[in-house]
Amino acid sequence: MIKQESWGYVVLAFPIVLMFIFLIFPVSSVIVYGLMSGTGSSFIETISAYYTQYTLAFTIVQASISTILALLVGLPGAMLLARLRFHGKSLVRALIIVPFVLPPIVVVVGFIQMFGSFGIIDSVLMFLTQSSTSIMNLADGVVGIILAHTFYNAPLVILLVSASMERLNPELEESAEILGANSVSRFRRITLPHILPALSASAILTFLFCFMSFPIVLAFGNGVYRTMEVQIWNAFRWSDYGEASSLALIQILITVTLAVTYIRLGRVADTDSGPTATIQTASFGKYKNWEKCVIVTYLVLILVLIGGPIASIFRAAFFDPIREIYTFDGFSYLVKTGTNGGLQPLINSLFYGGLATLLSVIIGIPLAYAHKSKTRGLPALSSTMVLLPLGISSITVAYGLMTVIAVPTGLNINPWPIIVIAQTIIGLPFTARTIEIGLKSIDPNILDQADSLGASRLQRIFFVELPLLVPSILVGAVFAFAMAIGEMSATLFIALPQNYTLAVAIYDNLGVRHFVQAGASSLVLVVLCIAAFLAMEKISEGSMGGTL
Amino acid sequence: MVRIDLKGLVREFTDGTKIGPIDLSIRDGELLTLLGPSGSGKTTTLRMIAGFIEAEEGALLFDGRDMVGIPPRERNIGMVFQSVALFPNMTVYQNIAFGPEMAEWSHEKTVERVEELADLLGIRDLLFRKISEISGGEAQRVGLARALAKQPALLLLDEPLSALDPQLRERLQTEIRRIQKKVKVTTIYVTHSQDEAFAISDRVAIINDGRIEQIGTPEELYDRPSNEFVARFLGSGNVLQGTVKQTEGGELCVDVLGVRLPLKGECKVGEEVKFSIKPEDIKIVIEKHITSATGTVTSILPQVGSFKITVDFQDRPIIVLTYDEELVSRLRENGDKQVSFFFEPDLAVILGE
Repeated sequence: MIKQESWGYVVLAFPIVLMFIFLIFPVSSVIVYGLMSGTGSSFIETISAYYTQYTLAFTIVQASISTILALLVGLPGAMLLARLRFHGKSLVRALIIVPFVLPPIVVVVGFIQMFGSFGIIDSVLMFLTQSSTSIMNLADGVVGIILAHTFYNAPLVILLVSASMERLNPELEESAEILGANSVSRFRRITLPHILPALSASAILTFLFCFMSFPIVLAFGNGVYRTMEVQIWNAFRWSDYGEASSLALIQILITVTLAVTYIRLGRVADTDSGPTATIQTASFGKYKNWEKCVIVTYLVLILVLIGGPIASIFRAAFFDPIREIYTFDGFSYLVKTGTNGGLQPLINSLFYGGLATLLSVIIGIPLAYAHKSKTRGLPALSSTMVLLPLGISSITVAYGLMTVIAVPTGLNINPWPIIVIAQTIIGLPFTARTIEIGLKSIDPNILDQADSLGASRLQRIFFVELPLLVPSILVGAVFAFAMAIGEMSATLFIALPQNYTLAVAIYDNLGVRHFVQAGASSLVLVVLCIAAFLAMEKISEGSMGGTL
Repeated sequence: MVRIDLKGLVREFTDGTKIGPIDLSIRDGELLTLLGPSGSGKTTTLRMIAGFIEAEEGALLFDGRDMVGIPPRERNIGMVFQSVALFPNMTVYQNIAFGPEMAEWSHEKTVERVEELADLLGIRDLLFRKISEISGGEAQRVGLARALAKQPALLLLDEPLSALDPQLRERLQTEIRRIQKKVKVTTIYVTHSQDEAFAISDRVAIINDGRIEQIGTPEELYDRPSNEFVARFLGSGNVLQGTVKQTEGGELCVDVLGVRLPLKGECKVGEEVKFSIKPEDIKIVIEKHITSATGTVTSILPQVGSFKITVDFQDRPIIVLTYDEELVSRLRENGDKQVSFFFEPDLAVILGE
């Protein structure tokens, strides 16, 4: 019995030890090392530098504006999704998560094609004005950054807030109505207080994502607009480890605080539950004419802002905006071997992604079990391990792994294992959380039943629990894979040219204005991600919202 | 405070269920209960009166004024929902004061009204509690106070006690009854429990399949069910069916499964009739009478103050209530369990369609 217990501890401790070795130790030592070694700027120099303050201010301001915009765009969508009755609602609800699984660099390509020079909207405007030069370019600079962030996060707001709204007991609103409250006071006094935790949670999450955003800022910022994340990468490239470490430290302090707040709020939101089956909905016909106008306008806006860039990726794969022709060059690039070909990055993407997926599952399962353990401190420790990658940016993870693991071991000559480790760490929160939710939903009576029938602990795990967990593990695996193939930040940071993945290659191609090559690569990633997403939907039957 | 008239109210849903046409009048100050099995349309009817569901046909009159098309908030209604639906983000006081606030009452008047109701319902100590800090029974009282705060002309109660345990439910029934009589508000109460309906109502309307089967005082309904559904639903019903063989000056002789039973009523010879006879009106004897019906006792259940005896009458269970302990002990000793049963002809009720 005692032997079995210690065996259990080894299994539960294994992922936590790994996370210590590959996340906490590298990140903390790289920060300490960078601050102590005296290479580059010191912490004081860094924070008193005008440029750092400007970068920090820009990071906060762009994240705040993006968050506000995401809330403004998302809130009406959440209300519609919760209240409007229409056919294919479950499909729409499922599709809303698509932007979230799309790799940011792919979103960049879609945005350039939709809103950029010679993009779809620009082409229409050019045709209307009979102009031969580009009129509008929204996929650039601050506007591009903020629009892309809104694209990314408005669906998140829609998903989280509509779920909360559906948990609102409809009789509460009816009570208010019958007590004389009109729709404005009903919203202000009843609905808003109810969705406030979900609204704040999604706002914090959005802010967190925008704060740590890397590929979008890198691509649209043109080196002029930099977030902390971009500046850390930049400082590392120029070997200013002092500055990189100082910035990483500041960033971690801010993001971890936000992540902890998010989790706290999530706990509040978890506890309020009500009947969801009786949620009051109205069909489109029931709305007044002006309301119909507002709804239609909103849907068109959403279609352009969120549907547009995704659809544009298809055009991007064929249309070369420089030569203004349709071509298959992008696809011939993808099958080309050699240094300028797209085949190697494609293979790398699948290979690294596959390994990262495997690792995520292997680490994720015991991590989820540790979260359920009755041993004091273990659940807290495991949930910290799951959350840390949310609060520590990809660039910081890569910076730590590169400096503390890769350089001393000589792996920096061909750092592909480091890429796999980074991708695993970044995808782990999602995998572990999915498995954890699956574990929680297993009826404890079934396990007791297995016990009462004489199953040993090991038999119980292998014959009862794991088979029941298979769907969650699959969803977690697919999630990890989608995250890994779309990961660009850490990979770009670590990779040497021979290690480029498709996501990095897209960025590379954009930099040298090989737009169709970037477009075709993006299309491949989109297809992979959508396939992954469909697989997740199929397995989990539409219960994915909880993963966030 | 208001007289309510439902005239041919109809509502059809996309899934094919149809409510109505419903004709119903609720007198000023009366407590009328809509009683029916689940899915019978009682809540839908209540929600049509409240205005949450639009009627497609018919008229809904409050003191003669048609309410169709007027939003719920302008109908001057108080309502207690099944889930009570207290606002969780407010205190007890804020919940009760919500209606007056929406009606823009002065602060003094609101406070006075809330305190008055709190005293009436015995919830004065709870006023500054959060909703999560009060019990189920207290929540019901707060819900009632909130519904009454604005002095509505009509009070609607949608199964407000269904989630409570039986003892608390009984206590609150009396309380609702007391308060309703005190404030004299016209009240419509929805429930699926016959006990609750009978305990609380001036009159009861029995609903089935979206239609009103019968309206009357509890006594009327119990003693004189108008059709088979009402008889069976109210549990007063041993419903039997037979053919009229003889009539003579209102006295009938009906053949039920080969046994001739005497009834009273206006029927023609050869007509098929259904009638109900209450369990307490049937007498059992162990001695066999050739002319009366016989059956086999299948169970004897002791109840509060009586025994419930089931007699198998040609594969049909007949429920009999008796207070006669001696009879019961003799029945228990009776070997072949065969008994005869009969009833006074004027206690049986001939049922309509």
